[in-house]
Order: sequence, then structure tokens, then C-alpha cells
Amino acid sequence: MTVKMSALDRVLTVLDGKVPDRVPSFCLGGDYEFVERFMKSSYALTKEDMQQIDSDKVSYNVPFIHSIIAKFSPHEILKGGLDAKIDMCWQFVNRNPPIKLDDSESDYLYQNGMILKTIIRENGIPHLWYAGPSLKTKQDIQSYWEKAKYLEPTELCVKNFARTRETFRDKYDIIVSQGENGPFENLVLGIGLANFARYVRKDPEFLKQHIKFQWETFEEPTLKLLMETKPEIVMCGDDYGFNSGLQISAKDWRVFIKPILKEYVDIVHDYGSKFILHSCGDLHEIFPDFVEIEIDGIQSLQQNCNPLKMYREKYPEISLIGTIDDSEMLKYKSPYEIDQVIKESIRLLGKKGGFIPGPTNFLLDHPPENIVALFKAIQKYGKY
Amino acid sequence: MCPLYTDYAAIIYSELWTMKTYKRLNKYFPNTSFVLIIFINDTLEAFSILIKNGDFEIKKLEFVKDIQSLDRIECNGYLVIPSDIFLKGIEAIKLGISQNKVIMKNEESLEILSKIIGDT
Repeated sequence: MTVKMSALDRVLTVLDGKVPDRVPSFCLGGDYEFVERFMKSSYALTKEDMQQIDSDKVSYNVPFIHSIIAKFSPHEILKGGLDAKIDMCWQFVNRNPPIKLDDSESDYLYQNGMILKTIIRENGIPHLWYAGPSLKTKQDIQSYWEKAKYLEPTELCVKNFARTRETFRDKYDIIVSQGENGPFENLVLGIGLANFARYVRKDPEFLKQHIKFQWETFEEPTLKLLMETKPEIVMCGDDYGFNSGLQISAKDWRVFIKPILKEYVDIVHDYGSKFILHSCGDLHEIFPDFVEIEIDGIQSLQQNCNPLKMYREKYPEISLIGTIDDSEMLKYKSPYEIDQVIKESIRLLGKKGGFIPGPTNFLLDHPPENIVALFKAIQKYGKY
Repeated sequence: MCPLYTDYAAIIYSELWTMKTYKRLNKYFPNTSFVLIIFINDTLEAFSILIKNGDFEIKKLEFVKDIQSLDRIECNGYLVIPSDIFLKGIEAIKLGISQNKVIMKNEESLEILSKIIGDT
């Protein structure tokens, strides 16, 4: 008989390439729209749920929705739990206030140079909106370099991170993976994809200088601050793909991005932790590179653009995390159809471990009953 | 698309919306009926916040262009905050009050704002 594992043991066993007691599950989080739908559904958090969640100081913050993730717990952990256990979730590291490049009426920009706005949509539901890059010229980038001291992280950016992990691990048997943006997102969200392409052609040394500046100023220091809090699992987000391929050529990715990504992985491994990369889109061209730099797991992996069975067979070193289509299937199919899709996904990808299913990205306008069906099905069909 | 709110009003709205959606406004603001005005004086953005009976309302005050005009509006309190201090969070706002960079009418204004953005 298989001994029941904790969520931490279960996830680490998979990331070690071994077979756990059952298939673990993962949820990245959900935005305001999903919170609205969930709290209006029959699954909503009750007063009694919130009494326990409050006494444990579980966060209600969007988009990590740890309080809603706790609601999926079995009854012995949360009396009103949905018994559709989630084993691992996520939290983002970054609390630096935005800055301006000068005293003009220009927009505030975040640490990596992007402009991010909070807007309230016509239906009254909030939304965080990427409003574009702010570092549009070489002069902008050079002004940004002069602001280095405002971009450096402080211990505030990982404040309470260890407590959040320990609470969720010890009281709810859920692992909180934590991490920051990867080098590609920090680069292109700040300068824009068009500028990236232009500098690759016209001034690759300048581009390398900017990438090095971001690494040394806040990426490496933030990661090291996080590692000092001793996380078991780090997950960084760096979306490389479109549905039809990479956003930049594989050659450019190898020259400009891969060396820094390898630094991320090495630092995390040096602290004895596991490294997961969240990256959307078609990644098949660079999947062998992920093996080479020893990434432990890749999260997202939309089925419509990734040859998942090939990944599973050819690259067993890397765990496949996510893979459950949230752009159409989890939105439009019935709970029964979702149950059957999960059954088939586990049969195809999870026979010998190496698989942590969950939605490929944040939950948005999905019917809550479909999400409950998803996590119940992972429990139902995930036994080894 | 025409958003209902953007910028600083949207930041406050999203925090209150989250509390309301989780049915926690009454927990944080029991028996409260307080009209608070926030004026971001370098961008000239002003809005009022009313929290009452587990609900909230935000109104843009486009006619506010200076601190003097705040005294002509019926409210329980106001905070005049430069945008950079607002974006640094509640501790920076408290420091700004002590340094006279943030102007406050009615100390309860700071208590209310702390409950709205204190944990973010």
C-alpha cells in the first residue's frame, strides 16, 4: 500500500523524477473576475471558512487568491472545504514602488521599466493592465540606469514570505512556490519587443549591457533575498512563446536570455531548492536547452501548441506542470467533459510521475464548477 | 472600452472591491459612515470615498484643482498626498504627514486609508 505523502513530499518527489503516492495538482492563481464568480457561486467562502483563514493569516490578495485555494482543501483541513485539493500555488516577489524617469508628467514605471495600470472596467470589476514599455529610446534606458538605487530590492520585497509558506505548508498542506520575473519579461516588458529586435540587429552590446544592468541591479539581488528565506520551490515567470512559436528566435534567446536564466537556476540549486519556469506558448525549440540548464519543471504548456507526449518521453528530466487548457476547455466544457479530459491527460502524461496538472495560467472568467471538477478529477484519477 | 476608474481612484477601488466581494467591508468598517476625500495634488486627481453598510462608493471630483476647494466640499476628512508618496504605501504616507508633505483633515482619515491599503 502506498503511504500518503505530504504535498511537499509529493511535489518534490515528482520534481526529483520519481513516482509519488498520487498525481499532485497546481494552481497559479486567479484574477478579480474569477474571485467575483467564485464568491457568487455555491462554493463561496463562508463566515466559518473565513474565521479559520483569518486566524491563520491567509492572504486574500489577487491574483494569488490563497484564501480561495485554501477552500479547495479536504474537510479535515478546512471544515467547509471542497475536498478538491490543490497541492501547489504561487506568489510573486516584487514590492518596489514605481518610479519616474524625470519630474515631468510621464508615467510611473515599475522595476523592469513597464507601465502597469489598475483600471476598473465598465462592469465594476478591477483589472491590472500592462500599458506598454516606458524605455522607448536609448536615452530612456540610460536615464533608467541612473535610477539604479531606486530599483534595488529591499528586504520588504520578501517580507512575510517564509511565514506564508510555512502557514500554507503546515496548516493547509499546500506548497507556495515563490519567484520573480525572468530575464526576458523584465527586458521586453520594459523596452518593448520591437526595440529588442532593433538592438539585436543594430547594437547587441548595448542590449547586453541593459540585460546585465537588470540582472545585477534587481534580478540577482531579489532572488538571493528570496533564497535567504529558504523556499523549497522557486517558480519564475518568463513567457517565451506565442501559440505558433517563440516571440524571438531561438538563436537570440540562446545569446541574450539563456545565460541569465541559467544563473537563476544555478542560484536556486545552490541553495538546495527546485526551480520551476512558468512560460507560455510553444516552447519546443528550446525545450532541450531547459534540460541542459537543469530546470526541474516547466509550468503552463498549452496542449494545443506543445508536443507534450514527446516532451514526456524524450525529456523525462523535466516535470510537466499545468497543461490543462484554460482558454477554451475549462471555460466552455461541462464538468463531466473536464473529468474525462483529466483522466486522459493523466493516462498520457502521468504514468510514471513527472506530471503536475493544473490550469495553464491564471483563472479568469471560468465557471467555478469547472475548476472544482478539474481538481476533483486530479484526485480521482491521480492514484498510483 | 471606457473604464469607470483609472489611476489612484482605481487602486483604492480595487482594494475596497476585494473587501466587499469577500464580504469583509463590515468587518473592517463596522458602523462606519465616513466620506473621505483623497487629492493627489501633483496630478490634480481628487475623488471621494464613502463606506457605509458593507458597501462603498467612489466619486471622481473633477472640479477640485487646489487644496482650498476641499474645504468647500462636505466630507468627514481628507488627505492631500503627492503621487510618489501615495504609491509608496501607508508607511510613506504616515511619514509624509510628519514631514508636512501630506496634509490631513481629521485623523480618522488616515485610519480609514490604512485599513484600505495597509496590507498591500
